[in-house]
Amino acid sequence: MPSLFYEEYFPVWIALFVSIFLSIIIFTLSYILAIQNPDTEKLSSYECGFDPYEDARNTFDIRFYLVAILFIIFDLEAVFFFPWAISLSHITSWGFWTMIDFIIELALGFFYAWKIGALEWE
Amino acid sequence: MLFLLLSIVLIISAILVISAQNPVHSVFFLVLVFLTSAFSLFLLEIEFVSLLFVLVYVGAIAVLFLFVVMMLDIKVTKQEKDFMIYLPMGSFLGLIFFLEIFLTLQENFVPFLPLSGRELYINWLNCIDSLTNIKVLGQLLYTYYFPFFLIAGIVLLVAMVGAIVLTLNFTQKAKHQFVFRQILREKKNSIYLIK
Repeated sequence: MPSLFYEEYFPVWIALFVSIFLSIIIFTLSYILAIQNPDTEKLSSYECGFDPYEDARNTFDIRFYLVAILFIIFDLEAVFFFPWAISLSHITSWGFWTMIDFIIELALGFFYAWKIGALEWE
Repeated sequence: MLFLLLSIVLIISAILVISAQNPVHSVFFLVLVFLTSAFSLFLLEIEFVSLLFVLVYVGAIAVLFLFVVMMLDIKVTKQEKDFMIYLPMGSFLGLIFFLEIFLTLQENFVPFLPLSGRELYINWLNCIDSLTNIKVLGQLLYTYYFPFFLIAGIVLLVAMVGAIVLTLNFTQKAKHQFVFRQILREKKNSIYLIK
């Protein structure tokens, strides 16, 4: 079993190491080669046109949260598609229609959100 | 070896989640916990679940946690948190969880305690098919366990409707821009004399 596992994921392993190595090289080279000449204006956080005066954490509209929740739900729907699509030739038409029922259930919620204007902003 | 390293990182970052003073930092350590647990699941050849961890937990649920932290408007906690308050309840819940895991291992996998009455544990290595994790899930979830799948869909629907009902302000209507009405507007039906 391990041999198969390592054969399958050896390219992934190489890609992981190359990406880590490359990011380390880029960061260190840009740190070493660039001329470091800091002062207060350079190091302060930059906001276009005026001095940064507020904390980054503000109260914000609850709709961002709603968008994130709706994103999670449809993300999960997409996740459920993958095993279904992989094994579509093995499961019978029963499995096919189960998925269709699942899509209809979520489409009901989607049309509710659309009809009520949950994602619209004033 | 790699599994051991990942477990050490996981445990350290899990401790840092509850002991970090800044809530945003503890959310970042939570993301690290999710990532390392996804890696260790990958090493156990449970690939689909581990990718699902990265996709759903790191991609979406961590964002929700960050939103909650920002909404709660807690800055850095000044005083030392008194962990001893949470100790009885937390250890009780942890005990229940470990009991569940222990019973599952005892019943279905290699038993720790000698079994009374029953003969032998099932050697699951003999039962292993050469199917991957995602294929097994796909073949079981949509046929044998289809009621649970449909119930999951209904739970998602209820969550969606509940989130919309809780957050949406129904009194304010969004102002729309009707493009066809703007295009159809001409000189002869928009200019008129008022006496």
